Amino acid sequence: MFRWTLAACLTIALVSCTSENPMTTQAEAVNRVEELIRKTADTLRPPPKLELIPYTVTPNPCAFSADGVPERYTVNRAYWLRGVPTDQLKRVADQVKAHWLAEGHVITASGRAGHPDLAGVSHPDNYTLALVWAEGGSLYLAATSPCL
Amino acid sequence: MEAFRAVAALATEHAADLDAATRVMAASAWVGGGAPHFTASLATHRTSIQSAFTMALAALAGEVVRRGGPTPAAPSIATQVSIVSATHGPFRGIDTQAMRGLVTMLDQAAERLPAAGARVRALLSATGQPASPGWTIAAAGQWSGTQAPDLRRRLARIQRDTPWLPPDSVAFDLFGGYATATDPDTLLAKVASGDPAALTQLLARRDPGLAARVHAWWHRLPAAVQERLTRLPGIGSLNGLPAATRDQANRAFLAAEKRRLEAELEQLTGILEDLSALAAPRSLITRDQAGRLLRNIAMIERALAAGGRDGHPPALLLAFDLHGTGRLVVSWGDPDAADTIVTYVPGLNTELGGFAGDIDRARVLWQQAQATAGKRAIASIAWLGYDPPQLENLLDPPASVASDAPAERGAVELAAFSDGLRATGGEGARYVVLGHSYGSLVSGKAALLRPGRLADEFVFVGSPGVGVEHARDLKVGAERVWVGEDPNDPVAMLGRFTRDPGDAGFGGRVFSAGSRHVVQAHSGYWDLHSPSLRNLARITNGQYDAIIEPHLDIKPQLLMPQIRSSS
Repeated sequence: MFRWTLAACLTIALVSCTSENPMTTQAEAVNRVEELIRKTADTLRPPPKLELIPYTVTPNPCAFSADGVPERYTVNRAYWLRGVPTDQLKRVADQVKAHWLAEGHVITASGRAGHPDLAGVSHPDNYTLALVWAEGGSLYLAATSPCL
Repeated sequence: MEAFRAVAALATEHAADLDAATRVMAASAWVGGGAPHFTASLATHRTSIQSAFTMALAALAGEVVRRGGPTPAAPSIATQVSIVSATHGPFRGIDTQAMRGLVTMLDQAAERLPAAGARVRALLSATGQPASPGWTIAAAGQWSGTQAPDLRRRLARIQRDTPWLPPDSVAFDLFGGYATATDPDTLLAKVASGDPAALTQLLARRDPGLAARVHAWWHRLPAAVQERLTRLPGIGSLNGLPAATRDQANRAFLAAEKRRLEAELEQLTGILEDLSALAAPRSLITRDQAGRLLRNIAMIERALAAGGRDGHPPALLLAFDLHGTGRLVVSWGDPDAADTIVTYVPGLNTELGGFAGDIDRARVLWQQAQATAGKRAIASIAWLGYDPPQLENLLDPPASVASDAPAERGAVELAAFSDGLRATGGEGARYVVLGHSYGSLVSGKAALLRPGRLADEFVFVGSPGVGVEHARDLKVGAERVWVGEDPNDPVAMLGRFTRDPGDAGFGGRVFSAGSRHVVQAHSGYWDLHSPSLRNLARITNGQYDAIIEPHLDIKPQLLMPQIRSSS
């Protein structure tokens, strides 16, 4: 797997194959992920209470050695937006979208027909952004770093 | 003539005595256990009664005519009982009331038929006709009489408060006495006494009914025997055992293997140091092998370590085998307790040593699905249960086009595994199969082995063909077949096995699984919080309206095609 990527890099000498943020440490990435979420949440009216989703704290392996040892990780966080009335979900989604666009982030996907889901990519560092609807009428905000 | 009328009256009254009972059995599509045998015996006796009356009446009618009378009109005797064909959809179980009714009907037949048969015998003998039809009618009654007490006793033992009995409980426990002494039963009895050779034979079998049989057998074992059997090496891979039991047994076996290999390695290292340059090449290879196997064990332990921590569900080790390309099946969440079970079938070049990434894919799918599933419980399984083709050089297509033979074999394995999930899973549980690349071909072929019974929903990502030309051929309805598209997946290099499922002509539902908008090294369908992973979770959860759609005006930022870690 890993040696493949190396082979691909050699044959397609177009762009760098190392992490897009080679100097980013996990700590820096955690700060950025938290910042992306909190800055978004801060713009929401009424302001929701953020509740961490526990399993999102675990860094996620994004590259493994031949032995199956994780070598690189993405850093992630996801927070429930508590206190949002179920009839306000679309409004919250519109606010999130407005904020992301104002920050220069790119909206890459959205839910259909009134569903509040949004997907985005942060500017300039390509963190994955997500606003996700859950069964029962809850929303969570999430951010994930590139593979570090 | 009087004899004829008397027998005709008896026929009208008794010819259908076993019809109701036969209808009870015919109302269910029996698979496995002794039920089909019982049904067959019952049907035979029912028909024999009617034939006997017909024969008796024909004989007596002939006698009437011989004595100069007109041909008497015979009453219509033959009745039809139509067999219900197997239907798709959730099978609630067998109606307890109906089973009780069956036993009562047999009792009644046991009371009525011998007397009727004796009467017929007497009437026939009196007119000098052969009395055998009378014996046949009586015999049917006697047969019914011998069945009823045993069935009543067994039913009392297995019935619950619910109006429904689990079908395998009925098939194997209620009608257990009718099973012929077939191989699996003999093997199971031997396994129960701790016979490892019998376990090996049993683990090699792929009979469709086997998992249900194992399930019923396991639940009849005393607790002390079950406890002892969890320590029988390899038993954790037996489809039909409860997931928690499989996990317990496999973890114990894994620990034992680790101890054994560590001891061997120590010994081999010792020998090597002693002999140094004189070491036989054979021991070097063995040492390397031992080392590799231990690394694989370490990988499995690492992969399971997240289970139960930081909000993760328990990680259940449902199967493993360290040899060959290996086997490893891990479930995030208990599939026996889950409302939705999604099984991920990996593709080419997957093998045990590299499976950590795939286990992680199942883990992040669990996260994404469970977070959005509300009150429903999700189990997400990574299934390395077959031998994927190991292609030396995927980037050189002509030299390495895979055949579909491994998929055929893999399909048998997946079908057997799925039987196991269903045997131990909850009623009303929903099954989703997610096939990636070559794994999608395995999944499609497995669907053909279990029409309508492998999964409720299929998702194919990066697929080179799934073994059928149209989604409806998978027998779940085309609207339950999903195809994830990512134009950067190097599937085109493989050639096609059957029609591209992303084709409009295939009839599947195409959803966005592409990462063409965000280019990151090693990104793929399972990237955390990506639209792709979100959509996989939406489909898993049946939240079809919440599927997220890409904005098509986004340009790719870089031109580098995506190279996956495996296909």
